[in-house]
Amino acid sequence: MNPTERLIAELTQDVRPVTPLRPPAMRTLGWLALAALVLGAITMANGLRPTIAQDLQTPKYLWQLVFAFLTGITAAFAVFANSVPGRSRAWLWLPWIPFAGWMASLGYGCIADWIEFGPDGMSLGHSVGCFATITFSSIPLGAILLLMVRHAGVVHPVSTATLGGLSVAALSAFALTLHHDLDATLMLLVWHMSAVGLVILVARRNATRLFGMVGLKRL
Amino acid sequence: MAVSDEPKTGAAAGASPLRVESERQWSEWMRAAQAGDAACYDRLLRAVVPYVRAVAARTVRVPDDVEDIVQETLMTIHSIRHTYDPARPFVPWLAAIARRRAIDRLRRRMRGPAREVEFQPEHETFLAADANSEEPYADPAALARAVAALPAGQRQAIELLKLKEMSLKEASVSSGQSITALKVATHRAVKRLRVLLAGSDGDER
Repeated sequence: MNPTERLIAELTQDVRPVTPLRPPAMRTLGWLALAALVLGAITMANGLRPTIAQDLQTPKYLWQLVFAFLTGITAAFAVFANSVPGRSRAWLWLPWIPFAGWMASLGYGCIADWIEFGPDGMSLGHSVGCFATITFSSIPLGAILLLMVRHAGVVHPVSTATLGGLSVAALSAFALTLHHDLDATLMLLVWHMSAVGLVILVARRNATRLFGMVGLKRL
Repeated sequence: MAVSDEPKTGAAAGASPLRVESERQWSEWMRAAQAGDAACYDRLLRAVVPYVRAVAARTVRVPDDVEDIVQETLMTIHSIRHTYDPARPFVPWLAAIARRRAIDRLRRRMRGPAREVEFQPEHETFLAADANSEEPYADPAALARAVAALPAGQRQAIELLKLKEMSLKEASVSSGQSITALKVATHRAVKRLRVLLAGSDGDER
């Protein structure tokens, strides 16, 4: 018996029934429910911004929210699709479409600020709080997502981690936009995007290590 | 994060009715394996080996590597068999895993030589510090003179056994002396050489 045959015999002996994963769309909904719990708790703790009702009437605010949310969802879907071997990898491009919209809405916000307030609307400020909130709320969300796609480590660790980072950071930024009361869009653009970039970078760089931490080791 | 080249197995499979048939069969076996059917799982794993081997052979050339990829692919199939969706075709799932394992192996192959240094005789070290000297002997001329000064029997033993590196048996045949005689002669010769060389070079031993 050669080693390959011996291996097949061993694997066959070890075949316990398994439950196939649900389709990516279902898993995305499950993940959103969990993310809503975490982000809802953070938002409750901070309280919604006082002007939320009228802000939602403002296009620049509304579009930012919508696109950040869409980026979070589509990135999560891409993560779940990509973590299954053999799925089309074109899904990896999907979240970058709403992401571009998100960037555009922030850019539009900057221009709107300029028209409304002139150079005063361009204050950059020191909103380290924003940055820290996004990065820190990304940690519990990232941990949940990582556990949900722990099998991806053996197939597509890097792309899964990258889009996972995008998803958690975008949803964190979405939740943050609901409760913080910063109005200068340039500030949002700078701080939110650097936080999103940092989360993605950390996830991407540590992809193999992250997947190594959860169960399935790389074979 | 470029969209990588996805295995074109689906399209290739469509070309051959036999392949379509076996794809359907594999998919059914996998579904049964997910439910815990060992016999179907065994059939499936055996059936996919040639396919995985072909995928591997396209990526690497070394036969040992191909077999390693096959085994690693089988182990990956086993560890993530719950990710196969029975509603979807089986071959793209299998091909993605096999290709990933093949690429991993190729990367390790490419990375290995850059990080490793081949073991050369000069990397070998011995317990006795003197034995690690790169120079076999500091003064070959003195050694040659000392060997020449040995009595004929001892000189012959040293030449055959140490300089020509013959075995005792070969040296015995070549010189006509018995093995025991050669051993004794060598032992005496080495002792004598030590004395001679110590005389010519003060700090040798």
